[in-house]
Amino acid sequence: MITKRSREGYLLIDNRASGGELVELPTITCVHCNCVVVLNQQRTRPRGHCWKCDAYVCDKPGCNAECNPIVQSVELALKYPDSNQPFLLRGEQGEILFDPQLRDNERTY
Amino acid sequence: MAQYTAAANGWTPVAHADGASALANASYQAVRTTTASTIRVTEAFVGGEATSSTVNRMSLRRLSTNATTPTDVAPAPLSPLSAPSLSQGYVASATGPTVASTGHLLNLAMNAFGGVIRWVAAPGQEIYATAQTAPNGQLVLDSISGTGIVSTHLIFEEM
Repeated sequence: MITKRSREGYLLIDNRASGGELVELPTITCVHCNCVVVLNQQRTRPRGHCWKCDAYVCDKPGCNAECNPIVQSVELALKYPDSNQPFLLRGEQGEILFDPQLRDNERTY
Repeated sequence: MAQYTAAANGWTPVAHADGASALANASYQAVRTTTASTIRVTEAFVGGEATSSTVNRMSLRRLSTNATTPTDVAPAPLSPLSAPSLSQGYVASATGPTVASTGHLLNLAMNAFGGVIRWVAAPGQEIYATAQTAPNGQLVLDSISGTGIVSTHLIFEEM
């Protein structure tokens, strides 16, 4: 059974050799911009979720405003290899940086 | 799908800001795809080897310009039954790559004085690179700040 917790990655930080601590933290990867977010265990406000992807998205406004899955970007990069478009790169706000017309051409809805 | 590990041993990071260009040899670890390969990174590891307390802020980022003539280091397959990977690792090139100015994919801060940091992706949560050309085709693991010597590896799945 797929749960939200089953989609969490794992981050180990071990600074015991230098007098620090061993910390283990869950992470999520934004399904839209592909960046990894370390989950703050003290956070109480809700996290972003894309209902089309049924997955977490990070707090960047671009990732919450529009559904541009990274897997779709990979497919576009393979389909248009000579287009010189930054399919996998996102802007500071999570917005896509490639020509949206290429994405729209592939949409069936 | 086959998994591979690309490792870089005992290299000294140089602090590279976003957009830093022509990275010096052995100041980064990079993996590159080909036109026929797609990778997804499932694990990143950084082990500190500095002899005194040094905070390293490591980051996995995309490139805005690929390196020219990279010196390929063949990633090792995790299974002896796997074919050699099309994608390659490298830590040196004729002209170093240029780091993209946006979008850190993974930030890893640690004390390089014996510190260890390891990130493992859950299935479906991997970091992608594909189709060779910048900024889609390559990933670089390097330092944003801190220059403590480290050894690193990236494990990726080739699709």
